[in-house]
Amino acid sequence: MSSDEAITSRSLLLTRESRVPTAVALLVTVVMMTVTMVDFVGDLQATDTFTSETPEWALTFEVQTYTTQAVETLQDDETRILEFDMAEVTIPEGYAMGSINVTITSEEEEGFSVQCDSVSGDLIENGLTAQWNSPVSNLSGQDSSCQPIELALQVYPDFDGRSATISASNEYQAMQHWLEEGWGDGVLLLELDVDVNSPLGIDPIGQDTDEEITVDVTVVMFKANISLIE
Amino acid sequence: MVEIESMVPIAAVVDLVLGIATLSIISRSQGASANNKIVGCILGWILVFLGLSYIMTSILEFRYGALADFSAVDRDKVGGTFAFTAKNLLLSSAYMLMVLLPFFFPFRLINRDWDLWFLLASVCVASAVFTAMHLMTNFEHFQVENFLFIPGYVVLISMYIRFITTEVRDSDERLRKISVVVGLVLIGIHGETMTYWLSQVLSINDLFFQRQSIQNGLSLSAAAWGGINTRLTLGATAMLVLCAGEAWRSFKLGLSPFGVLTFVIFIIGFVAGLADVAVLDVVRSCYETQCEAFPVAYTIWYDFTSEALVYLYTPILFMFILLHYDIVDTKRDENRWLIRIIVILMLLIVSSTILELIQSFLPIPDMISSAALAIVVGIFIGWEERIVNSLIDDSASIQETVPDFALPEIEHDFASPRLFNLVFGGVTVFILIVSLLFTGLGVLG
Repeated sequence: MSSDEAITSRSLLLTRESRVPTAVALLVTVVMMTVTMVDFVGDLQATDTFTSETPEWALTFEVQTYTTQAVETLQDDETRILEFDMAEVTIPEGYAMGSINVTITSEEEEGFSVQCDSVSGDLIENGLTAQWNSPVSNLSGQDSSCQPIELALQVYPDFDGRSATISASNEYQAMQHWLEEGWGDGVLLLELDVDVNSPLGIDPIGQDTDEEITVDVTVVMFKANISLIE
Repeated sequence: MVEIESMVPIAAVVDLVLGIATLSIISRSQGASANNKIVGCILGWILVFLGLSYIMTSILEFRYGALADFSAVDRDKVGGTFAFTAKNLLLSSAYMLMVLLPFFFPFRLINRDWDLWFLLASVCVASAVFTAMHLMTNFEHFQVENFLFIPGYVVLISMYIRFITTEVRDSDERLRKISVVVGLVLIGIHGETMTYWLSQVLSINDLFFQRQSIQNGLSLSAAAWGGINTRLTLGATAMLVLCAGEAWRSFKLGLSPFGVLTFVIFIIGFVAGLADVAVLDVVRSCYETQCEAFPVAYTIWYDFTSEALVYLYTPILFMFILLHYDIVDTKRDENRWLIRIIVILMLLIVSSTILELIQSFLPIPDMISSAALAIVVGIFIGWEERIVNSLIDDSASIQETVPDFALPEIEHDFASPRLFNLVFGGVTVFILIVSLLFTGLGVLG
């Protein structure tokens, strides 16, 4: 700075040489601020919508079933435990095990001349990962009127196969509950018990001493689908 | 290994000790010029406001466990509490002083009779206005005060470029002191955002704030988001200007310690930008899926760079400015012992904190870290006189260094530290009472 140049605020901030780089620096600042501000404002609107509104999602299920059958002959007063290894169930990609339905049918047919045997079935709670205490699960059944016994075990939490409407911030959170893994691992144990009843209580030649029981196990598998309700 | 903990309480102690010591020394420096008294009081009160704000943050952290990523506060947990309200209002007052600092240091630019009154009135009015606005809007517009940094930024950037170009052109080494102190003030004010420069250039910082908003239950206005973005942009461009200036100067005149400091922050910002890009999936998870935690390595990196710069190195930087630019009277024997205590205390606190930080991710046994700390203590005690003397003996005020650039000094009889302490002390009491009152009335939260 020349000695005769007065010291002013202006000369403390700018000289002939510094004018251009200072202008460039400030221009870069303005450009960057503008560009980033556009991004910030866009995100602000998206965040505002995200935090203030909770959209509704339609939840539907695609269902497939896997069925296996076992036919067992039980003697009078016999108790037998049947095992169904769930590892043998082939679950398609993207599906999860939803529930297990068991139907126990005896060979006797309902009618006037036939005395139905007394059959009972119990799903034994074990290490199979399922909703053993759910009110939807029906773990025990008994019948002496030649009707099939229906047992059910809810495997996946809250799965009942029915469509629903749920509120969630985004698709992931809406789907999150239905993406859990590990449900349905283990062995299903079914305890059968038969008490043979002869027609009119008479069986002189001891023919009716056993009962053929058919057990149908149906594994319900599902795939959840989510779509935004506009 | 030790569990990694927040640096906020350490920063609170460091800032308060340094701030109170600065105000104490300034009060006893009878011969200091009016300008130095003003600058000393501004720096001292910036540190006091920051220290008090950090105390409130520590309370939020330890009492409510409300500190989230990037030392952000979870408003869902503490919105409407006394500590939360006071923390933000004290921070707002510290910002106001930082906004006005470039107009008084290194040069008193306005240099009129009324500029001191302007300073005092601005802080009081701004505190009252921002306090009222934040309380009425439940801090929806908090950080809008960042827009006020723009004039000071223009001043500092212009001054830095002006003095570095003249220094290189005339090979006038005296002018280096000006560009360095301007650079240090820029780092002191915008240091944290400088470490995010690459992320700001890539325009990805908005995603981090989006995550924070979702995670911490923030409901910010467009003005607040604009303020945040302004601060980030000013930091990023300040870093680029400093780096370009220092690279050019190093090429022409050789490398300097300030150049090294600038390049270190530049590299930290570069690496931080790459790290930010690497964790973008985690950042976006709050919006797209559900919030995932940051990797431990990323958190450690952040603790060591941005957080350490804000909480540990900024007070040291202010201390360096205070001592090296003779803002406090370092030559008086009665001040010297206090300066010695402050310097050693601060260096030891920071060293021990850094050691603890290292211990948090390296499996160093306590025995070894204790020994390392003992070595550091030994070095500081042994070289205490040398460290302090090197800071003090080379110190010279801006007026002494470049008298040809010094504007004629206006002496105010009323420019006493007592007046500043009275006014800013009043602001502090006002903030604490208002926070207490509004919290008690249940207006907030």
